Amino acid sequence: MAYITGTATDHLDMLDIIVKSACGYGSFSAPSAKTMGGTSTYGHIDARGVLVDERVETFLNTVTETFTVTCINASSNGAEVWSVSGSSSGAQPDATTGILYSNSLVAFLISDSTTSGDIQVGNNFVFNTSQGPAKTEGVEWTLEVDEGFPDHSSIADVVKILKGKGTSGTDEIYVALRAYSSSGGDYYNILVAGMTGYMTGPRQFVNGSTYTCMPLWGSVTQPAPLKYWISVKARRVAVSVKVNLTYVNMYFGLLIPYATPSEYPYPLVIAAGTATVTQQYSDQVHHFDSFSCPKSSSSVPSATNSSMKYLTPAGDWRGVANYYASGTNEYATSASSDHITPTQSGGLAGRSNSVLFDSENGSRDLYPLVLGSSVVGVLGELEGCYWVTGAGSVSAEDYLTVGGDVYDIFQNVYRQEWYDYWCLERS
Amino acid sequence: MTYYTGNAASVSDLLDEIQSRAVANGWGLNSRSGEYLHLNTGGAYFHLRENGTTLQCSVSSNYVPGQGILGHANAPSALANTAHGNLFTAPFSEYHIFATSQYIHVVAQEAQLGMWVHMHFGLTENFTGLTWVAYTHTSGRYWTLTSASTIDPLSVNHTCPFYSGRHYPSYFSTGCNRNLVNANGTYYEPLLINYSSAGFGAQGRSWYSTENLLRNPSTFNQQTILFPMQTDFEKVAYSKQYHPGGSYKDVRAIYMENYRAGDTITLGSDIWKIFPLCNQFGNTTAGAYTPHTGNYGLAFLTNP
Repeated sequence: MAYITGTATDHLDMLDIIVKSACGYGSFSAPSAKTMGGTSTYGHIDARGVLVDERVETFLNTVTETFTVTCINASSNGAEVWSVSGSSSGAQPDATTGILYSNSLVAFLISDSTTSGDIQVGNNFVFNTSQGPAKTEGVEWTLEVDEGFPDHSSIADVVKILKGKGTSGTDEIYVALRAYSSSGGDYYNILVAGMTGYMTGPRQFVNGSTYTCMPLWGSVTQPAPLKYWISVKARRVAVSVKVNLTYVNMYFGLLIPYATPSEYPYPLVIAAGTATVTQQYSDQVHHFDSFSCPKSSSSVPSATNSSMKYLTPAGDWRGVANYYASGTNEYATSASSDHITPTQSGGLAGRSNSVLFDSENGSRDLYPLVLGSSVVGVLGELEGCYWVTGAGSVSAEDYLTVGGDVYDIFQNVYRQEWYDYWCLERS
Repeated sequence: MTYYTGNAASVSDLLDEIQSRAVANGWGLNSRSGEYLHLNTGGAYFHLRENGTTLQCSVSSNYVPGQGILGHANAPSALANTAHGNLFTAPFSEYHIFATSQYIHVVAQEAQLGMWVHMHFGLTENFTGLTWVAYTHTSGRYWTLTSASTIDPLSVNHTCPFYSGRHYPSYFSTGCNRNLVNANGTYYEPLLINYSSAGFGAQGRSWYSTENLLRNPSTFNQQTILFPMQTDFEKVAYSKQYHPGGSYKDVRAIYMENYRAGDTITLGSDIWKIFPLCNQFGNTTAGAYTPHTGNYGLAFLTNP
């Protein structure tokens, strides 16, 4: 499985990383001999005569290799010419200082530093690139649309529409991710929408779709970077992001349906933290949750007030909520609501149930997160995501090894009761 | 071969069939004498007894010759604490035995057609990654409800196979290393049957998602999901803190709305055979009540 971990600087960086991870973009890293700064996609080397300033970017076609960039003509100050050679891809077109270099494998910008002295012929630097895990696994999604959002251009919100190919390789699984922020409102979030397609021309974020929200950032965020875990499969993407001491989780893509493809061809699910797009990540309200135990802001869950939504076999959006928030309290939704098992009220991992610990030998069992609808039936389960008991010595970022497979454990946002944990298949 | 069917003229004949099929699947035979059948597998010992129209079963960690279904190490202390399948009223026009080295599932149709009885015993299935011996279980059906109540297999007035319940709960042990644990039917969802026995130190529970069970069949394809059933047991007596004890192998809970006794569901290469908990179409008329469990049923894998 394509499993990507790392850190992001803010919600925009996180959005970029989710998209690039899903779409199988490569990554780059500097040789250990160099001093690098910035993030995984933006770097800086500033050793005398060896400099890459501003950024290195990688693409879908990036392969795992080492690039060597050497100054071969320094006659024009500030416009020096550099040879570019990949250990696998071989000689590439030359680069020029001050001009963005970009081919299908890598992009970077060499800057002349006025404080570092002139660049000399023979100056060189190297960096490594790696093929994106999703590309390596053959599960990469396609970035269909990548643009700013006109209605929110002043705050640099962007929309990215992805298409998954599914296990058949020919499926069309459409989701959209949108940065959604307000400095006045002090929220910096990512919205995720599910859809059956998208319009060409001026984009419409909501086009027969519905969306949910992943709160990620705010003024109370600690300066530490956002730590993330991203699992990419051909049918879905699952994400957990640590912001301060909370874990914000996201799932978009298909269920594993309990039906044939002809019976249920498009079991699309989108789930994040809340249906409230202006939610601050640091606000510990009941309706801010994880897909392991989705919630709504109403006693009647719907596709507009629930943190998790899905498309029925008939093509209707429905909300999923095990509990709902009312004032400062939280209540179980009724049996007529759609639920995720086993965390629903009365379920094995229901809030009021007796505590289930680990096994006698200390191992922990995994329970699939099953979507059941009071109207449609029992529809399927979230792929690679499981409920796990938190009773005993468990905390987020622990991991389990079961049958040779590894699972990372996360908590439901800020919650740490025994029923608030879930795990994500790593391998 | 793991699936057997036929007919039996008496409970004793049925015991003979159980013995034959168990031994054919690798079980050890300790003795077959009179009303008793003593078998073992995986370090666990099972003791069956024909008692009129009741089939009793207990589990222990050894076999003591000359003893009945009690008197063996870690066996229940009283008959009342053994698993019973009552109303095993012969002749049985059909019996269905699902047998592996790990379990024996017995389903039989009583003299009254449409009435089905169950008896199950063996080892639970370890969850992946566990290395310790499986838990043993026995389970039978016991019906005492005599009024025209609603179709409610979850009633405290009777027990259901695997779910166990108030009167004749299942039992769990590691097969040889621990005392038996009383397993009541504390459950997952409205299968809440609180029962505590002074004779045992801790309770167990068996469960599945009855909420999801009742959400079958799916409206868009009329198909029904088969639900695994799990058992847990208390870490410390009456603490309400549980360890998982494994799942019942090759048996699933099913809602039989689109199915009848003996129907099969084929999923890939797996073929499951379906039976009601007791009686799918009982008489609910006051004064003419017969036990009835509606669409609550069990599916057994015929080709594990």
